[in-house]
Amino acid sequence: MEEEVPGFYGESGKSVQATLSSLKMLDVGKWPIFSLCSEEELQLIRQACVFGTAGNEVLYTTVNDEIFVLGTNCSGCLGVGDIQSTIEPRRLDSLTGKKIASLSYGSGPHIVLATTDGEVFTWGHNAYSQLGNGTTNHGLVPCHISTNLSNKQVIEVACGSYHSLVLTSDGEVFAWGYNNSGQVGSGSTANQPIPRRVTGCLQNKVVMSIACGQMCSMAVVDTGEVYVWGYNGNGQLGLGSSGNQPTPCRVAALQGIRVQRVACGYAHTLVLTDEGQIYAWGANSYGQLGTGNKSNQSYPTPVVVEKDRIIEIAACHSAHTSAAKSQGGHVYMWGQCRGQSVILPHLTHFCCTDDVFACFATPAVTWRLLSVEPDDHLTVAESLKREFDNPDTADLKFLVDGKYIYAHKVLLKIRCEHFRSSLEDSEDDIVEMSEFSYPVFRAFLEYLYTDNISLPPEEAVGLLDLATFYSETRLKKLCQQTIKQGICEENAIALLSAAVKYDAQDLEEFCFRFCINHLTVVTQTSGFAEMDHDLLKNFISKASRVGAFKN
Amino acid sequence: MVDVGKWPIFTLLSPQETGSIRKACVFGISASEAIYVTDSDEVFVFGLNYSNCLGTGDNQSTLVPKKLEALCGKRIKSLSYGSGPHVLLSTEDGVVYAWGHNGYSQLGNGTTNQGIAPIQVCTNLLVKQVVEVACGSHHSMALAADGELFAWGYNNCGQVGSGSTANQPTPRKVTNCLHTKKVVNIACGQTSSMAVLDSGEVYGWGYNGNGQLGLGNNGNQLTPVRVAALHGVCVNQIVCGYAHTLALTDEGLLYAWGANTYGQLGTGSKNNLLSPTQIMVEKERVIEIAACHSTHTSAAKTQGGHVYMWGQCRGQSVILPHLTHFSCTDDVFACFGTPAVSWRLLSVEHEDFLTVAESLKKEFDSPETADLKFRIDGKYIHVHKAVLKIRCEHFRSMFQSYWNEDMKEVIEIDQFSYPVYRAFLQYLYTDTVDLPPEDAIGLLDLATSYCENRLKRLCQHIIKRGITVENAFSLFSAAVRYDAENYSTQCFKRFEHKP
Repeated sequence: MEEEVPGFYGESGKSVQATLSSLKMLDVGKWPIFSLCSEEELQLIRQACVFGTAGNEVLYTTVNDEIFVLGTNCSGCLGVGDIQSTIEPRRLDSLTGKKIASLSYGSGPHIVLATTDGEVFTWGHNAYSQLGNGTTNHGLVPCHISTNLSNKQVIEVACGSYHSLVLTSDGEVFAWGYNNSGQVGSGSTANQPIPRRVTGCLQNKVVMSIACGQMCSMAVVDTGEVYVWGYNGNGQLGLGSSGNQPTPCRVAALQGIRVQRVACGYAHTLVLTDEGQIYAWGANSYGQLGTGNKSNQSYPTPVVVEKDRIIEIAACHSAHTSAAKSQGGHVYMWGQCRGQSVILPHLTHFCCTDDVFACFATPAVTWRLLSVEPDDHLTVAESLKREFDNPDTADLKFLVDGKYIYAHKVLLKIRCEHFRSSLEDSEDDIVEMSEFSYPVFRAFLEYLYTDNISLPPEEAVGLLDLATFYSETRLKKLCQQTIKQGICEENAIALLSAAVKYDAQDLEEFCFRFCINHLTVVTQTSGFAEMDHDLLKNFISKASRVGAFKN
Repeated sequence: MVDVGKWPIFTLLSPQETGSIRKACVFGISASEAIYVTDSDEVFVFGLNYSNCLGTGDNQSTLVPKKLEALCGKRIKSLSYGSGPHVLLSTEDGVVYAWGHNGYSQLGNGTTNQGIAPIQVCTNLLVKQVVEVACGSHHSMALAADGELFAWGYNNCGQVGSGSTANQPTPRKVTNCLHTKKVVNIACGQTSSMAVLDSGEVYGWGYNGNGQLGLGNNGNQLTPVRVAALHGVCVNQIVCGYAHTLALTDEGLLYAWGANTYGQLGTGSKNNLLSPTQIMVEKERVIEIAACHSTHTSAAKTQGGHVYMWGQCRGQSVILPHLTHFSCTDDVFACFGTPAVSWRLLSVEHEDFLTVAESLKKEFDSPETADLKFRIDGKYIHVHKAVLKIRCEHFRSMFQSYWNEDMKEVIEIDQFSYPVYRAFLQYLYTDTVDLPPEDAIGLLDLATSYCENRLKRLCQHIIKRGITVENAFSLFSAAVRYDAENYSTQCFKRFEHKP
């Protein structure tokens, strides 16, 4: 036998491992609230947003373009027409069929959503006119916002705590809602009840990206300049001062730098340049600027993240957390992390920035609309599952109760010690099996291909016998679990009888206890009437010993 | 069964670190502290370190696990924590350790000084073998193997059971009605205490403002009082929430009493109950109940493996038992509790059977079961035809179209190198690629030829992750050699960026 050295790579360098989880760019399972959904529901999710003051509200879209919501429904923010909380997903019927292009939420919370047709819908908290429908009544259902937007195609939306921003395809910005710090950009501090175009310095500019802090607003224009307005008490506008700005002002300190993207935290701001560099400014009480200290900065300061080029920055107006992703796929985190202050970028084990907010931010809310890429490629385990009982690739047939079950010799050998010896040097293409029934033997082979069984409890007893015969310890456990989970008053006697027959003592004890606990109903079943005489005698004897007949 | 990955704080650890965890507990007022034991019985802590509750000897918070040398090798058996927080644990040898917040003498060392490192709790416990510990918000209890119960700490409501409301600085045996009785299970609410005897009787003492003692009234009790309403019922497990109590009988019946503001009793209403009421969980027998003194959440597991939850669930009130998708009660608290803290010390059991995927991985390049060999650069790789057919369209058509190939025992490959082709076959068996970036370029070429899109993405990931200033040029050379246009551009960009 030739000597093989699996790890040998000659003159090549250090190896890098890549697993499927490296490719799984988004996993909604990281967000605890999605534990309320079943596996089937999770498989259908294509876009998702976790929001609310405690991260207890969810909106998601499915592969069928349906929109579902669940959660506490604070201020009617689920949009289902009432303020009833729900732990089961409810469908948002009025938006069925509409594709979401952009979505954002405020602290009330209120929701602003743009469809791929460029329409805008809002609902939820409205005490400061942040819904843009001209009133201050909470919106219990999605409301189409058309004032000043009817001829526009909205491609991006952003929310602060109580104000809203939208960006149109022709590079114009409209704002409305709370304006106590000038965050609407109208030049005053009067709340704005309907969408108003943000002019001033932005009048002739083409905006490419927008973002909101709690009470401030940001825009990046096509020339790479950054414009800011609103609250500046922590220097989050980056103007070198702490004065609020009721109209857009250019961040002069970024002169000569081409900014691609801006992201806002509660009171801090991050920008990403076209050369993959990060600048940060604003509040730094949790180290959210990543400068190595906790001093606020009122002008842009470079953030050093490795040697790598940064391709994505992340922040959310509800949180004091920052995140970044490099071209090499590394995800860094700084700022508030589970109550701790991280003052320099910290390398995480995540593959996407969204996971930083799922696991470390307070509250745990999404910083953007999550997008799930469908991955229909089969894993090793999924491939085998699909090939079970498939005649196309099989090289062996079992004949059981006159029916065929197709299998692969090599896989049976790998998975079962019994087959490893019995199929050794065997040239047979067909094997007759008479010791076990078709459902039982098929379930056994399926287990070898999938690690799972799916049988009714009565048949699982037969599989338990097979598992005992073939010394398959784990299969025995699965059988007993199936029987225990499936036991009910109607089948309890049958299961007890089978457990006795196959000498499964633990299972017998379980079935016996169940019968005792439900004695009145069990004794009236047909199973009880058909009970074997010896079994009945033994049952009554044991039952009286545990005091089942005392009143 | 138990998956520490459900707890967000454990994502701070690497997969290797989480893979070595055997026991774990998440605690703290915002679930931002954790302690865990590894398979080599080392003890680690990490998190915020509020009130020195990590026991590291300082008050520094840490994202990186720190080893608690004093507890390594001690074989932790039972662990509980308070709201300060303070941490209390007992070992397999029956020794008790405590550290953290001590504003009310809850560490039991006779002082009110914060405990910055684990110290042994000695008074009255040195001659005892402690098998279980329990904490309320600021009081502590320890149960000895002989059924004797000791309590200490905050006693403003009589939760220590001493007959007074003076704080108890050191462990004191709880006597009165329990004097000649044998206790087998204990639990603490915020400011109340409960005990179950070997006879199945339940005793309670301390705060009773929500009826959490189950005595039919709202009066605090300074000494243990029997829950008379459970007469004739044989209880074997008791757990306490913030202000509610759950009891499980030996027949799998569930009783609840106390506060119900979030539906945590599961009665279908939000009315507090002063006496035990039976809670129906379908028709199944309940085998485990769960609650934590920091939360208003309840959970139960049935013999059929179903896990139910009720009470406070992510800001909502669930007033009847709700069937979850979990397989253990711990996950209810990880995902739905407020705060998301453990209700008990988690135990991670590792099964020793091989899954389908693990079996295949093990059989890669194993001559024993193989029925085909590839020969590349003079070296052999053993494979199984059926696996190749199932996993790769290229081999499926190859083995069907060319009957001769199917009959051969050895197939020569000359268009790819040995490391590249081996990595490809290993990927088919494991879904994993393990290569240096330079060879990943070659594998990318193979993946393109064989139309393996996912494999291409894995190669791209390796190249991106592995690129450095040192190897950028050699990657560029390799990319040119394999005519991988996208990646030669990326290498060139990087090269250009740092002249």
